[in-house]
Amino acid sequence: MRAVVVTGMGSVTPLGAGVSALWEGLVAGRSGLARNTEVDMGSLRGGAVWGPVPDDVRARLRATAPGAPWANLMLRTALEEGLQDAALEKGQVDVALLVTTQSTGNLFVGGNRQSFTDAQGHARALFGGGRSPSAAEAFAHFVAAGPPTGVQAFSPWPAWLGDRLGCATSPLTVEATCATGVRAIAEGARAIALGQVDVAVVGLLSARMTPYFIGSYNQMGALSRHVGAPQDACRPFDARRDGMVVGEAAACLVLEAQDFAARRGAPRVHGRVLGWAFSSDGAHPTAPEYAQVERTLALALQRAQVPPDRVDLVSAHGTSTRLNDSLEAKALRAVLGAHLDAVGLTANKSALGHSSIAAGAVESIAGLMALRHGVVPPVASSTQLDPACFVPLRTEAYTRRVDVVMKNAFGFGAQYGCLLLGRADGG
Amino acid sequence: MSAPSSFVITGVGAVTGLGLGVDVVAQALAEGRSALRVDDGLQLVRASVAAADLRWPQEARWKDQRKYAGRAGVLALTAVDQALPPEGPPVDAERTVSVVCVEPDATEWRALAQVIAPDDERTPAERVFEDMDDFHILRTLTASVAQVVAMRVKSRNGTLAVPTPSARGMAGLALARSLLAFGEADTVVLAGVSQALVEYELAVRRRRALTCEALDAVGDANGTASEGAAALVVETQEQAQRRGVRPLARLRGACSFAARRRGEALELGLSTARREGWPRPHVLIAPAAPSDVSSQVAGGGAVLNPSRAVGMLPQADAVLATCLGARALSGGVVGPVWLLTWADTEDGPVGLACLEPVS
Repeated sequence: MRAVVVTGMGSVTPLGAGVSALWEGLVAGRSGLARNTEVDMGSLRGGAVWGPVPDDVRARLRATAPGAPWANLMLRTALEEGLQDAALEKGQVDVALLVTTQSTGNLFVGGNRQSFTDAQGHARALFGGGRSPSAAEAFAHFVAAGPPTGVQAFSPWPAWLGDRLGCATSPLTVEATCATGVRAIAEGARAIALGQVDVAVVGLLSARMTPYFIGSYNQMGALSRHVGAPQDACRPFDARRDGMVVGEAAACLVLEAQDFAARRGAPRVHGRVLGWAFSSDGAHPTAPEYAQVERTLALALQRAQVPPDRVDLVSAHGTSTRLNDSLEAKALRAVLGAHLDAVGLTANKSALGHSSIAAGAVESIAGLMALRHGVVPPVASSTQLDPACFVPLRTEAYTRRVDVVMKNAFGFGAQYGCLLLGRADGG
Repeated sequence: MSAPSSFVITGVGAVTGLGLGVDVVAQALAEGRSALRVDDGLQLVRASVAAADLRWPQEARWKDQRKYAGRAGVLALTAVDQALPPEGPPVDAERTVSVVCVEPDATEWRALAQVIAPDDERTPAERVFEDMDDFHILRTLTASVAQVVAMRVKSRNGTLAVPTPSARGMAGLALARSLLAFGEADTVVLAGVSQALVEYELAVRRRRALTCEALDAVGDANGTASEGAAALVVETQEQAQRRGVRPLARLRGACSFAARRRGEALELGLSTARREGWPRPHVLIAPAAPSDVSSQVAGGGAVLNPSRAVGMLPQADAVLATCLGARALSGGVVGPVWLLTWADTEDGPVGLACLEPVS
């Protein structure tokens, strides 16, 4: 099996465009959360705060491609940064594995705020006044009006990457709800380890802050009802935590076989993918099951051949929901034992919100930056640690040597994932 | 510990417009029958699955699961129950991964459109909150389909969806093989589900076809986006022996590529076949592939196109082709069976796989 390294990273997050903006914001304890002024909540209590890409960054990116769908723009920006960081140019690879998420939008869900408005227009044209149009009427409508903007004909990314690198692609789309980010990295790493490809480009996106998602997540009781200062809305492991905060983000990681990266002279290696594990169970559609959380963490360490006391930094899933954080803390204690008190622990959703399918990738990037800089980002919002959680959080950044990062990601639908990242030189 | 290198298919299942079972599709192909019918409303040809052919577990706990699994979940479980009958030898839960190739559940679009269309005093978010069914959002997630499959087969080693548009289902088969080759699993339950039958999705697809010719260019299965599901069990040879199940066929290899220049992705697939030493095909099963491409890949071998009988199943066709190939090999076809998936979209995805008789 070949060793797999990360040679390129890119991101667009509520802390700005670019990995530098992400990292500097996290270390400074800045929050990307803001008051939701765009989706009219009406009487709903959850979702008053969310994590959008800042307006000035949004405007700057939009100016680079007027008229481009926002979601596409976010992902393309992250992919481009990742490829430039890796200094991957045309002609260097024959075939690149491309791991992305869902390829098409949903007709009436809308992929983002703009496309939801568009989708609502289509819905009104078809169903307004209580009508139930026939298929032929629907067909005539879409012929006349064109398809909704949220629905792409097919995924554009294999062709885009093929043009960008002058290569063929082996495209793979994956979805494992909020564990998708770490799942996508694992899929890329496995293909490289098996020698199927030399390079895998992982590109993940979540831009779903629409009335549909806000309404649905309220229905499930998953959202924070916090109405005070936005930066206090997401408090992982804090006694006052009351739910998650939706965020938007795009992330790119360029993975390569270590020997291939060395041969082509890749300018930098951010870290190495040491191993991963996933578990599934079907006890409940949204609530995590403790036994599977613990099993996943233990299995990842075992497969990566990393003893628990070698873990230096835990990048927690840390959603700020009552149940997730208490289960995750309990599992960390069970798997790491007394060593949990000695690790660095961070929970990036406190500053970024929860970007769902992209979150695991964004937070892996932050973990790799911690490896490089030897700094543990703070969880500035969690100032009253829940005694039932008792994890070693700090509200200010601090330095410590980081050789191994444990990145956890769990999701609705009984999805549990854990990824282990390490220094390329083995520490 | 040496990595496993021999992978076998031990179970197959399907539900299509022709009925329940891989045998039914195979028989229809042999007899030249088809389930395709003209839809008068849209002037589209399609094949839908009969309600009587759908299966859903009757135990009480499964009643709630259906709320968020949607129609795609029902289709998936119907096929999975054939591939891995609940009364048969169980899989090793800790060493089994469930993978489902599926697109977002289009049947939910109508419900949502009806909720957001009215112009009353409520905000759209309030209408969603008050009027949508509980857990509606889970029915829009492809991973929910994968979860019910994992629950059914009792796999605990992770589950994921491969939300795959046309002809990329072979990526799911290649992924399954990789999971086994890497030693991450001993068994993979792989399902594919297509359900392009809701009128509004068909309307959009028809519109797409008019604008980008994506669906009009698939040759022999011209625009027949249909409904159906297929499932298979693929595992290491050692695991099949441990479970005491009879292998139907050996999975020699599987790959999936995309490239903008027509023919380039196919050439990459063929070069993979040459590099890995796949024996030339005795039979080629090629859903939705143009005749000239099928002939080129088949060489002198026979060509079967199941899309003629069950329509185009963009997410399920690779799994269904694999099921048909495994059935053929277990039924006496003596030579290798190749599988080819193809789409004329802008990145021209091609999937290729090779099955061999079990020696």
